[in-house]
Amino acid sequence: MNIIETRQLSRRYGRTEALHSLDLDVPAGTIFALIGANGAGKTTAIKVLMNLLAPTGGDARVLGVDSRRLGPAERRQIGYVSENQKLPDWMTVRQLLDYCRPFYPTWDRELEARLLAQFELPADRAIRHLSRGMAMKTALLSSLAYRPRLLVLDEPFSGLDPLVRDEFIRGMLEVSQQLEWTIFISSHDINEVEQLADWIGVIDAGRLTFAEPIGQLQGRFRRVEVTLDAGAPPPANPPASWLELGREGNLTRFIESRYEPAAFERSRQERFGDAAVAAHPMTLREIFVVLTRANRAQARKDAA
Amino acid sequence: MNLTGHIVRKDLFRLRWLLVLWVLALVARLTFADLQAMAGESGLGIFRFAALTFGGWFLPALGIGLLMGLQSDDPVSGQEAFWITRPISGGRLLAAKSLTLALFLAVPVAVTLPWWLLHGYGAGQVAQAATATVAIQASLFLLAVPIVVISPNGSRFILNLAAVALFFGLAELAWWMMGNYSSAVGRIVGESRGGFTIALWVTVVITTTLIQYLTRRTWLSVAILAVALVAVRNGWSPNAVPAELAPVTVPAPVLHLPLKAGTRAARLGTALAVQDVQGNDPRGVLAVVVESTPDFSALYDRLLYGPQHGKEPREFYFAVNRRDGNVIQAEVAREDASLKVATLRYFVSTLVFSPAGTRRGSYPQDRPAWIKDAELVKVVSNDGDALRLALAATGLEPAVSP
Repeated sequence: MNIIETRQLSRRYGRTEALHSLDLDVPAGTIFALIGANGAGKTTAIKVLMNLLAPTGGDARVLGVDSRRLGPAERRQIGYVSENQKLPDWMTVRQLLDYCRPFYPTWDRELEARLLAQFELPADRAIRHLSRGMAMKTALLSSLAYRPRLLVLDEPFSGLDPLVRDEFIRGMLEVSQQLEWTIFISSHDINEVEQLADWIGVIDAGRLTFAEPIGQLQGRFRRVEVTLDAGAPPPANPPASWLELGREGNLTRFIESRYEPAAFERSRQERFGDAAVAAHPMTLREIFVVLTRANRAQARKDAA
Repeated sequence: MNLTGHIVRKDLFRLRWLLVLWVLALVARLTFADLQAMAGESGLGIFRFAALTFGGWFLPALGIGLLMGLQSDDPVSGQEAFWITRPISGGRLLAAKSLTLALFLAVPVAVTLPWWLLHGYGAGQVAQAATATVAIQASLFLLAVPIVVISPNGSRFILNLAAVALFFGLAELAWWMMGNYSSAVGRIVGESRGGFTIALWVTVVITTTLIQYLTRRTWLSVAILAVALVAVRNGWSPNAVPAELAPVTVPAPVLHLPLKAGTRAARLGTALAVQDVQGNDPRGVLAVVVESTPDFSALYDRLLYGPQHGKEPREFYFAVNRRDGNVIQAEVAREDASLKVATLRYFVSTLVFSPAGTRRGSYPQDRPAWIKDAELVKVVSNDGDALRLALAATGLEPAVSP
């Protein structure tokens, strides 16, 4: 079952298309990271999903309900934390929790107390006097204490210093072990979500490049280095799955985007014979960079 | 209802200091007005100035501030509000804000009630004054609501307010430069246009509020507001009357008011009373006639202050209309003329929310009038060639022998 589904979802700002025919499925129980550069369309996607913005085309369903019809019943099951959200900053942390509590029948006071201690938040300090990291933790706490089925985090790490960011992530991971939920998180920094997510989707210029489990993604990407004899010709007719093919001296490099050990071994034998071939696993960041470059090159080609 | 009340309590707690300031300002205004009333003509002008400042500027500004404060915690414009992503429906939020606003409307009444009782108001007068007070406060809120609901925060509200003021300023300037600026229109035209404007604005208030709370389509509200502002500008303006539209004279409601101290007559919410008949004169009887009207002093403070500086009031004053056919124009009805205007400037009584008949002290704007075989009329506008009369008192016969 998918907690979030979008079909042909589009959103325009005047002539600018911030989202282009987005087809996205977020399976229940996953921690799904939507990755993209600044301006790629992540926040717009989340705003449409949360019904903060109306789509200009297509559909989005959240918890099985059309996002345009999200009402209090659904909101009670959704937690939302965003760098763009304006908290009532005149309240203290405790006042915010006291204010939010009656709106949620499932509010767990024990969990609230545990998280308050875990996040080390000063309960009686006004939110406007909190650091940015603490304010984000406060927003997170007010979105966790009712055990939402879906937690949506829009750039939660933006502007946080590394120490606070690590604390935030650690806190999230600890809470994740206590709750059964789906997390949908957007970020422009892949390193941040790598520790958290088990699914990843990459969005670029409003288009979803791909979305799949991280393990599967990392399994199918390899940085390949082939040491050829001097004067040997470059590989002829490289398959489409080879990205960023290049040669430096007798070293040929490329990224295999559909790596599968047996098939790769056969291909290696056919193309390179006895040449030394090394296939290195790639980090998520490397994969992200490669895919973004490839997509932009393809877009330029299409535009030309 | 519990959750609605929960939001109301949150808002009241947040605005508690502003509310305290508001109450203090209301008390201060009443106190200053009372001091001025007790001091009378020879009193210190500082009290009058203070009452004017509080009543004309500070209290309205605080009222608007409260309205903006109420909305700015849960803005219905933009995408950053906290409540939008919480299980709070637009309808519930609207109910909560409306309830809080209703409580705000009750505050001036609650604060002023002791003054009314202190000044000898009866139950009916308290009800009348309370209604007027609520109406004034509600009018102030209604003026600001459409701009408040399209503003995501306080600074944008001020910016939007400035934009509206700029619009009206430029429109007025353009009108003046095109040479269309002229004197006031007749009462009927003015009233009908005023009615249209009020109806239009109330519609805009309701429409934009519902749109913002239920759908948050700010662009639609802004479009409606822009169209309404243009319509209001053209509808309200007294300068837009075509020249061929002749003023319409409407028969004024007539009152019978024997010229004898203590007699009273009332019609359409305005009462005339002969307060004193001071003696004989070959030309008639010297009488002091006072008027009491519903108390809209907060709104009309500036009008009330006008005559004190020696300027002839343009409207809301009495003139004497002789039966011999010589209609006394407003310009004639001055102190130096043979027939004096029987004016009552009820500055004191209105500021202390007291009916004119129970005013305290004496105020120099109470003018004696020479009346003989005449009608007393209230001049509501002067169109140059005709006076528009709203109220007439006939049968002003001397109650004492000439």
